[in-house]
Amino acid sequence: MSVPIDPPCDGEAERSAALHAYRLLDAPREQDFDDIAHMASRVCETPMAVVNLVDTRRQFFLAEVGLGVRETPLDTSFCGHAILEEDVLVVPDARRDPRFDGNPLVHGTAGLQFYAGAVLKTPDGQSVGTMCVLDTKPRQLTALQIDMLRFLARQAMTQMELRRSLAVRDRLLVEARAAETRRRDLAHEMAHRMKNLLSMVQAVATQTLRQSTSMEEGRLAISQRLTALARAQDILTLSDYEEATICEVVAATIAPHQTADRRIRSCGPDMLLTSQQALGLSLAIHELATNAAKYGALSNGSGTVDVGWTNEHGTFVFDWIERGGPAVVAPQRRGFGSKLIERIVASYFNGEGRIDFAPGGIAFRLVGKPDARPVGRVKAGDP
Amino acid sequence: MGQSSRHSHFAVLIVEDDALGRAEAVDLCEEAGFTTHEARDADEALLQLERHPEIRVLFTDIEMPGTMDGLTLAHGMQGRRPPLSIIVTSGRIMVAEKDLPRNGLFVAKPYPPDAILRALHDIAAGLGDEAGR
Repeated sequence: MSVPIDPPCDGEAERSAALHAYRLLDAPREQDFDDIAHMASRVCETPMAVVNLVDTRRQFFLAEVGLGVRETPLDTSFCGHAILEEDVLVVPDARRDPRFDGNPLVHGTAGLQFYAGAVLKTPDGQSVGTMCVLDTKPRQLTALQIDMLRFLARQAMTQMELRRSLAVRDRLLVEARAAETRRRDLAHEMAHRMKNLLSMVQAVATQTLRQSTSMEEGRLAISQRLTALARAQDILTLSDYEEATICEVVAATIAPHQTADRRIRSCGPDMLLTSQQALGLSLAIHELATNAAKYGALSNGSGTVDVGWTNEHGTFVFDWIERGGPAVVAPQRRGFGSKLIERIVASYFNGEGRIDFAPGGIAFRLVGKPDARPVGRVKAGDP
Repeated sequence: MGQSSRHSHFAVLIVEDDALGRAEAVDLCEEAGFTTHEARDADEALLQLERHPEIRVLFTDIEMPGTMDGLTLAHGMQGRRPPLSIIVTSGRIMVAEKDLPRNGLFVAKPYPPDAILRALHDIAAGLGDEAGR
């Protein structure tokens, strides 16, 4: 059997892509397209009419009258020829047309002899199908009928464009709704984190004031503690407030207290901290460093601080060890700073902290099992 | 800030998973003259309630790790004898009055210390009447 159409020619891929963009291949029947096929059949007085989408290997009948099928392969197609025409192809008698020699639709039981097709052209000029009429006997179309066929082809194209525009609009609406939902969720989550942070700030402020002996002391201590929190918050901001690495947190918190000759040394494996652990550890290091600068190893010119941590077999150990400072005198009154680092921060690591006021230098050790408690939080249920 | 020991034979149970928030709540309750007990989640809270019949006030956060949230805990305590006064707090959830247990009060986080102090004083006054009868 001869193949009347040459294999895919130049621009065939673009043409196919343009056709697929309408998402109408294998679409269910629709009244609008059926009406167009019926009009073509009535106007041209042919028993068959098709709104035909021509892909690279097959043609799909978006609407048809008198054929009873919705798809045929392309190699026997009339419309494949029409696609190559600029505007309208009329084949008055296919039996006498060499282009259809050996075509089973012409020479077999179907006995198709007449064909007229107007091209469906996209606004970009791509030919994606035809509006065609067929008959089992030879005939001619009047100029009026050919004009009508052309109009109906344009009408079919307009309907296809309309559907595509609606689909685009629907998709944009869905996307906009999803974006709005994401935005609302994010705003909600941010508000919650903000409130948590404010609760923390409030607790730090009231606790500091409660234990301050003067307004000036309280003012200074609060502003320094909030500055330490702010530095940890900066790191968290970079990671969407979820987590921070311990190395970043330690480095950022130590930086304002570091001496010119770098007497605070830190060493430990990197690991992820939750936002609460990051904020807590920042506060703890701040308390220890402030105390060291006032009374401890950083209050003279030669003392050193070693900050180290390990995280093995689920146990987190954090050490702050001062050496070479003035002789340590244990404080008579334990302030909020001690409570903060021994109990509060340690609880964020699900563990305990202890400050040892050894005469040779203050040593703080926190031992925790950060994963021992579930990280997830229970949502409030209906009562 | 002076502490009163007027009703220190009555206790508040503070249920809060955040240690800083817990420390703050302990100070507030002690300032109002109450003894305090602490729990990090509902399961610990139930143990404390069983152990300490002098607990007459439940001051609980809603969102907590564990099997039960604070609001469920508060509702579960409604039939307790002697009865509990309940203060519920949350930074995420706003609880309407109809969803609160009887004797329940909701305060959003971060809470103004004055509001908690006032509520505790009112509760203390009620308990004082009860003790005087």
